[in-house]
Amino acid sequence: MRIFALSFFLFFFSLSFTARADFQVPPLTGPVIDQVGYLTRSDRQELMQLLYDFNRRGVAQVQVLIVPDLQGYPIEQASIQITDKWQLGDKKKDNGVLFLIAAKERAMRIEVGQGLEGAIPDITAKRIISDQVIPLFRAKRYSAGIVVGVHEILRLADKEFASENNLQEGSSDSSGGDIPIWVIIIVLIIISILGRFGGGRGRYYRGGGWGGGFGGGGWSSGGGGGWSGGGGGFSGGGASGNW
Amino acid sequence: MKTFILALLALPFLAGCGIQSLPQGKNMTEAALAEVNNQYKRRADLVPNLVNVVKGYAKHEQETLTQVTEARAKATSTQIDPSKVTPEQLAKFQQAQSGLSQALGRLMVVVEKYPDLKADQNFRDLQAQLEGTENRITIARQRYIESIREFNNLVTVPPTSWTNSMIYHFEKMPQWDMTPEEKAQAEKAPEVKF
Repeated sequence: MRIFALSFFLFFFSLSFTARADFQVPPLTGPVIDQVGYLTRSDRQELMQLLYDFNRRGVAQVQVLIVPDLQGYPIEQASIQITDKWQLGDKKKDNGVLFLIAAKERAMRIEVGQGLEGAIPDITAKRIISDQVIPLFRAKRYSAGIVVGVHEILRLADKEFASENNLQEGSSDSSGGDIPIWVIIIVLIIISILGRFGGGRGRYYRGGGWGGGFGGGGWSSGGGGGWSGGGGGFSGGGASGNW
Repeated sequence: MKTFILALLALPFLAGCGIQSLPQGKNMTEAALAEVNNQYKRRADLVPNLVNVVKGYAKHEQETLTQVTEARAKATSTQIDPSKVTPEQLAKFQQAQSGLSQALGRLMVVVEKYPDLKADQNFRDLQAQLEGTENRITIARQRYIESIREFNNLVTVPPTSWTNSMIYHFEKMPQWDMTPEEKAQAEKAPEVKF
């Protein structure tokens, strides 16, 4: 009976997630996805290294995606659908950036995560595209253009990151923040002790709903070799341009 | 004691039937509407600067500029409160905002005649900001529409609809439609998808 009820709920639960026909977002396999072949091998290697490094340090999760075409969508639509799916950047810091380039439409867009809209405002994103990347693209130096664009994004994100950290160092002693881990551990120990010495009642506590609340949050931050979105939010910041 | 334990055991099942997700869905729609409102406000804040810059170069376009200023005044005076908004208020708000959209659209057409203005760095910056804001508005509206859809699903689709009729009694929300002018525009340019 319980299994029946559960599957019933799961069925309706899954119904609420059925989406309409949308831009076909490719799987997120790494920080640089080049489906066209604009990047030279060495540039690609260098960018990968750089982007992994910046993500690991927690500065920003910058993603390069080069697609052959936009499947008939405006680039702003395609780009927000990609970022909604990939959720680049940290969940709390929203520090993701997508650098999207479409070969057929000759269009590009820098989509900036909510947390970086101060470091890379729309004007700045527009200037990176129109003053630095597009001149190189017009000269057919695609690889160089992409490298310059990414470097500029990283430089701005890093500046913001550095200034934030300097501010935090001064006040880190007094700021409380989240509940420390040791408090949680002590509470858990107390609960387990109460359960053991509480006689018959303890059985219910151990068998009941207590354990369920933990472990659901997940600790995946995409560190090490893996590359995945961390739940970062986007709200349409950034700029687009055509070459 | 036994009922307490039963209630505890039932908690995970209740979580799936809307006791949490219904009010959460309601809050989502309100937050999404607040974001729409916020982005429209951001656009209205840009307009005076834009008008000033254009005025410097295009003195003969006084009429278009006046129209933009008037549309802005109308748009900023039509306010909504996201937590208790009625469909009529929403329609009025939307109409005022689309009035400003059209006035700005006309201004941008007029601007094409003035190459000096188009080359002005100030104007280019404002244009980039305006483009960005329009894009944010589009996305905020899409998210609002999506949040209404999800909320309406919770209200009308079992099992959450049962919880709603037992406990919350939320009404289904009217979907946010395009204004007639926007519909005409969307039909004119079929590649624009909402």
